[in-house]
Amino acid sequence: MALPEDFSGLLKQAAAAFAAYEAAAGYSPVIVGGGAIAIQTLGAFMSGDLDLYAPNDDLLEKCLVDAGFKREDRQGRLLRGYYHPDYPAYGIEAISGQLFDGRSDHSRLLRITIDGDRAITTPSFEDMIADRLGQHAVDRSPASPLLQQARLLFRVAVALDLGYLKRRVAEEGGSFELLN
Amino acid sequence: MTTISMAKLRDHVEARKREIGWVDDDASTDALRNKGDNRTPEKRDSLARIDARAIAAGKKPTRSYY
Repeated sequence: MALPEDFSGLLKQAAAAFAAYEAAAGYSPVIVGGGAIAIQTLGAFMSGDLDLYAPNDDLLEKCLVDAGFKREDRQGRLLRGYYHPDYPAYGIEAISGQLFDGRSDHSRLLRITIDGDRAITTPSFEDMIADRLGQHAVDRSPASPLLQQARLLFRVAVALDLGYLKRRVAEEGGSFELLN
Repeated sequence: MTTISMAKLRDHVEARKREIGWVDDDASTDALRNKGDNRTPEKRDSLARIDARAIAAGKKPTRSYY
């Protein structure tokens, strides 16, 4: 399964915003959570919302709006959600805090180029696997989709560093053995 | 930072899926979906708004549980 056409279109628009953000901030926003898994599994898992780690809220908003995104109109709430009118089936939400609470190695971020120089950035496969296993350790349901997501990522990943993966799984409180 | 083109990522992941016998169908995709038990109220609201926007625009929402 390829990524849905409209999801790919959304990523291209997001990449334009990310390029502007990176030019100003010196680093790119990072797509995390289900959106990252959708990309890394090429649509085996799909999500309608993209969670985004981008510490500078004001800059993110400017870059997204300049790229055609709209801010969600939610009265009485902190406004952190965006959507693109051409791709209404998807939403973007900025998350707060540090990427994986500061435990991930930023030099391992995965930059995925689309349309020439434009790119999107996700965590490494290792960090996403560790994140899912860590959440599974809390969830613990036998048929946990989080564990299934981790196992699929483990099997399709590009160039895994097993030493780093084991360290990160332990840091997130997960069990590496569950991947087998 | 590791850089890879979407085309190369696609080729790699598609090849790996073939090697492990992974079939992308509704059942396998649904098995990977969060069933919504642990979502925050804010995330449930967010997903509901996305669905509503998609439906209002005549688009099929991405299936999600919330």
